[in-house]
Amino acid sequence: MVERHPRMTALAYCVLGLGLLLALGPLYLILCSASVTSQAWISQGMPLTPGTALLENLREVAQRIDLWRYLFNSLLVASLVVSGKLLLSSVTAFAVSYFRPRCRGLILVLLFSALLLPLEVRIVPTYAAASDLLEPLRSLLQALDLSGQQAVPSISLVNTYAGLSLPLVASATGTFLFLQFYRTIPPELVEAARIDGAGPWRFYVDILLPLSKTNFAALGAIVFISTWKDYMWPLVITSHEQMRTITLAMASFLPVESGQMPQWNLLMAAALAAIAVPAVFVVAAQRWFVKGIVGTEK
Amino acid sequence: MDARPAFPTRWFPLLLATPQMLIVFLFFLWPAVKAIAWSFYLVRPFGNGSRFVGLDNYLRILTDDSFYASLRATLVFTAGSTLLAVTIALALAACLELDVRAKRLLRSIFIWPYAVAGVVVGIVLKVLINPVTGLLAFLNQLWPGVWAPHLIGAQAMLALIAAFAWTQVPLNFILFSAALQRIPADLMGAAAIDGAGPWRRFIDIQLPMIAPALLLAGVINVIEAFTHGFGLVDALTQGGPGRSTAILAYQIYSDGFIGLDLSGSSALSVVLMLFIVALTLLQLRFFRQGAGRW
Repeated sequence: MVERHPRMTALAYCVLGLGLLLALGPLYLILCSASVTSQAWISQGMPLTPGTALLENLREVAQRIDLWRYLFNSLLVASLVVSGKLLLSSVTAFAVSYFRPRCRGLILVLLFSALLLPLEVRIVPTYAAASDLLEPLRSLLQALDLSGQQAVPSISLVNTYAGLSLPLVASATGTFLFLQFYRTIPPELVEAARIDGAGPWRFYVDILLPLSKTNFAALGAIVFISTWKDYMWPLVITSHEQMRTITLAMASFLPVESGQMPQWNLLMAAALAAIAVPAVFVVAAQRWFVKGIVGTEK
Repeated sequence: MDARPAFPTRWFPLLLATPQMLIVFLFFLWPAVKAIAWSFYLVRPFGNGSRFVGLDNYLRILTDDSFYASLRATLVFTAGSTLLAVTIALALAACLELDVRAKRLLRSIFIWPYAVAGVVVGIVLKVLINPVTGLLAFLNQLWPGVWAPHLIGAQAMLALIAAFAWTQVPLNFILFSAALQRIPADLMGAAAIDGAGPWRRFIDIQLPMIAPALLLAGVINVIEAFTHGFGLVDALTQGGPGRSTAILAYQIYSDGFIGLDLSGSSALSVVLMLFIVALTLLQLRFFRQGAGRW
């Protein structure tokens, strides 16, 4: 606005300053707590100024738990989920928009049901499904009174990378995002491609994929972060320590028995390690985030 | 969408859609059907058979006080964190539209909490609000026992609400900023020429124009609180003290995995499912109105 309202501007600065404090305050306190020694914690209580022991604390955390392994797990699972989700969403949307497949209605209904069923409400049976992948087949044979139920092997995804990522790669919002995007592509483009002799696969790879780059980046950024932050699924699907993700491993750093005196400084250093990667990612890929959030939620 | 398809093949697209459909069936539909089925059976853990009991499981949870405690905790947690997160995000987004400096920097800073998982927030907060060594420990030095979130349910709930709102503000902030920036500059300029100050313009133009975004953010926050509140609760309070913070998502998990009560847990799942279905349908209504081409 062109006009000046000094009092309003001052008020705005106050609100923004408060927001700044709320957003960065916790980070500052984590930094302070993570950078003092255990003795300092015990003798002086929670520090309000940064100390000098940050690197030593981080080193000790890395000695006690396999920090690199957990970071690697998180990175691998997040990458698997991102690539799986992007591929499946775009391919499914492509099938629905540019063809008239049999059971198109069924495909859309299935997708829609996925939207209605977040993991948290079906956590126990989803765990059961992942620990016995072929159970539906066995039940089908049983229901049809066919023999051979015993021949169906039981495949368990517990404690595997497939188990950590596969149940998360289906995405209704992702597919709907691509459906919406493909609708904005002029039909003349398809016509032109067909006249030039391009088949459907050629059209998808050479024309649709390059055009969808922005959507891939936006959706990918959001999926990466939400997978990284995920806690409930890794918690139930892994029991081996070496399969844990960093977010989950963080939680195990808490003392199990209440009598134990926790080493808060190490806990905070571990928290810092868990936050660092996604935080840098959010700030660096901010543009895509904003695009993704406004695009998928709207 | 209703025009004739671009490519005539009928089986090839089915092949393309199959992987995703298979995953949706295996990990979404089948478990949901199972939860519904289990909720009508008395299921013994470790595969020891089951017995059809009709609505008994529902009657059991509906007459159980812990269900109402859980429902109450869910509603308080959800309403509190949603209201707080929407208000803070709106204030920040609106202030950034005024004549202030360092807009880009502030934007990045307000978005960063989006990176922090609920469970990490919970663990950090556990340290920050510790009654002996935490930030509020001085209260206990002045009035012993006044700050005791591990004993007083309301204080634990307060901490949960504040923490969850903290994680939700970035998403709302992004939605509101985008909505505010879509308001035509002419409109604001014309109002300014007519003598409307910033506050007046906010109330009479900006607020009504971003009302859809506000409602949308509200619905998203409610769904998030229903579902993703789990990590925070598990890390910070584990449903305690008593049952004062055992939100439904946490109750489903602890009944199923810790209490091994598959039937009760499933009945709760179905109840929460109904909530989510209603909310998602509501969200889609806004979505269709907002986008206009759905």
